[in-house]
Amino acid sequence: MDPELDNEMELTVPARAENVGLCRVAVAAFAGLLPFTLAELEEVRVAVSEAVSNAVLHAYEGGKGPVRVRAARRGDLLEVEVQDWGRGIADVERAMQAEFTTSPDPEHLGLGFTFMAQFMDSLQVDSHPGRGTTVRMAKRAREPR
Amino acid sequence: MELEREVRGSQLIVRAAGELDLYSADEFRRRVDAWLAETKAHRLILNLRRVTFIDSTGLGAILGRLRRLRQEGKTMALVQPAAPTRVMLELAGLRGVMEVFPSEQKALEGHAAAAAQGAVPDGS
Repeated sequence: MDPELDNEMELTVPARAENVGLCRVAVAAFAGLLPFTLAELEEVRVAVSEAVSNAVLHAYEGGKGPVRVRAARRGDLLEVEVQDWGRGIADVERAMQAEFTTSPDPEHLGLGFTFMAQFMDSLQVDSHPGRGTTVRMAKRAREPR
Repeated sequence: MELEREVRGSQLIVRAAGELDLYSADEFRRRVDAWLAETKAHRLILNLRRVTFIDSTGLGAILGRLRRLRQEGKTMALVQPAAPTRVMLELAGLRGVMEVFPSEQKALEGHAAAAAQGAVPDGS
């Protein structure tokens, strides 16, 4: 159990491609305060990049809107939340299947959720059509033995 | 992201540096496709040694180049992708979909060896 909130951060930016890197850097710096290995920090960076990129690509259908990235530390547990207030996902379970994508672009692999699930210890997606999507992920840093 | 190219016969080497994500993927696609058209290369060697970050969007841009090249009967090889990149290729079920070399020289030689055996056209 790690109920105690040790530290937190919040960053809200327009859901634009140019801001994805900024979100990665902010969460990676925050995650660097936990005893993650460099490889694990890289995994966190990819997971954040996938979640924020999803918001940029899908949330506002080419229009404008914010994406909010929050992170929290509870002991050695990192929690990351990426939220948008866009169109939402009609069928979350289907969306999370590997290679499923609503994008017509053949270079869009549909692997964002796959990588998030692989690189984080837990992944939870809450979405409501017309109201937005919240992706919650967590990863525990383990002290070297 | 920074890109530089070097032409070696019918092979085009592209060296990428920096981050390959949603923001830089478009530029990557545009420039690599332009260089391929301009040089009429038969093989693309993509050196990822200095790529500091890649996600599924970056991977999609790389695989998109592979798909296009294959449609034209051409090939592609990777040089020194970082460990996370290799993990992601594997997770995407793409391990073995293209050759991976530890250096540009080996990548160039890999092609030369195949060409000598008559396996692929060497463009000369």
